[in-house]
Amino acid sequence: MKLNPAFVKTRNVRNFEVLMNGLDLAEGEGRFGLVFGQAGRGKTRTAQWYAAGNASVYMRVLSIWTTSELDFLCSLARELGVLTPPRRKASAFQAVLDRLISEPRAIILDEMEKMPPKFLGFIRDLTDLSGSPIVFVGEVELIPYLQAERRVWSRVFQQIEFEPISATDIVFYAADVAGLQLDKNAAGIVAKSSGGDFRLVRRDVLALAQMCHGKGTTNVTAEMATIAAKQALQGR
Amino acid sequence: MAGRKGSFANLVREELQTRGRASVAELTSVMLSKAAPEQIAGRKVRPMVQAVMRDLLRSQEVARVTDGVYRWAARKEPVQLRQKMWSILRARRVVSVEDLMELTGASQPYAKQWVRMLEGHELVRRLADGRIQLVNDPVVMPDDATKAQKLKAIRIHKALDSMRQSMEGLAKAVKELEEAVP
Repeated sequence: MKLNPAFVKTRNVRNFEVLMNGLDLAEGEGRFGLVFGQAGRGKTRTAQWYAAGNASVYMRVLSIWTTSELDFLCSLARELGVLTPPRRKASAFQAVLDRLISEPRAIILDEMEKMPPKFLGFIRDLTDLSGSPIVFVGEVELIPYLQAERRVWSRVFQQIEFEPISATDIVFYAADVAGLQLDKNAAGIVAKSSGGDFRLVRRDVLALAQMCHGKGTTNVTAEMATIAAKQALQGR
Repeated sequence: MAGRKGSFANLVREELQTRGRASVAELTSVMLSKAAPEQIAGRKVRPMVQAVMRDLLRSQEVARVTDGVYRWAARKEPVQLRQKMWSILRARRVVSVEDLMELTGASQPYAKQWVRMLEGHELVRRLADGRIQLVNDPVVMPDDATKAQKLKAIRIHKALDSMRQSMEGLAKAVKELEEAVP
């Protein structure tokens, strides 16, 4: 049995859109957005979904860049459509800047906490000079990481925390991907057992879908949700 | 705002588009040398530039950065579905057809057809679990040759149809003439 592939706009996704719209309001000004939260809450998926649908640039920060600003700049230049980025730091920076000025786009940098703090200086220059917003996505430690750089922190215009997936979101998710009707109690049990982790919610919904398929129903009771949660904990 | 080619407003628009962002003062000095003499003869250029900027602001082609400084901000075109799938593939490197469907809203047949197109270009390979891995990243999405061929075939068919109609018309006219001759 497979779940129907549907992207469900949870509260976190809606907040993400509000953040991006808020950044758009200050168009032309150097500014950062900050998205943080525990792993498994759907930050990366949301960022990739938004970037694909809004011609933004999504980039995952790689540990391999820690020693080379040039590698980062070249990767960014390629993401912006520069087919053969210059192999000198200043020229690569200029190539990125030229692209952003002629075609302003939001840049989303995922797993930002992996980036060495010394890179923040030219990232600030990029947003200031191009006027394109840059959004940092990462885990909770991203806040002290950015606060340590006062000039960067002062440019953080918008920030949101990705919260645990709520029972209401689970109701909509189960209906969209599996056509299941969860009552409030059942959704609450799934929310609790998953700890708000989207991947675990997916696992539980799949278990419920299988259970409902066997019983020939689409209505999920609290009892069924408890069984699904227990099965998941036992790794079945 | 549809500008007439070579008009003062269009010159300002083109200049701002090229520069990305510029102040009214900069645009004024450029227009003094770029505009045709008859366009600015006996007139103050700065208010003319300001008036153009007001129009461009209204049509959302530019955005105000600070007082007197503007940037090109043409309205965003909607992103094509295959371009969305390309972005997702490049971001994730390994994706399933379901991922593409979920994150872009593409239908399964369309997503599968698009993946086949990429396989044809040898940009992706299929993994044992059915997912697709990007093995060669040309940055820019390749053209869909099958789609181009389909469009070419449609164009040829249309051209043949119109030629056939013309020939039928011609044959009819010849026949009428032949009948008219005693």
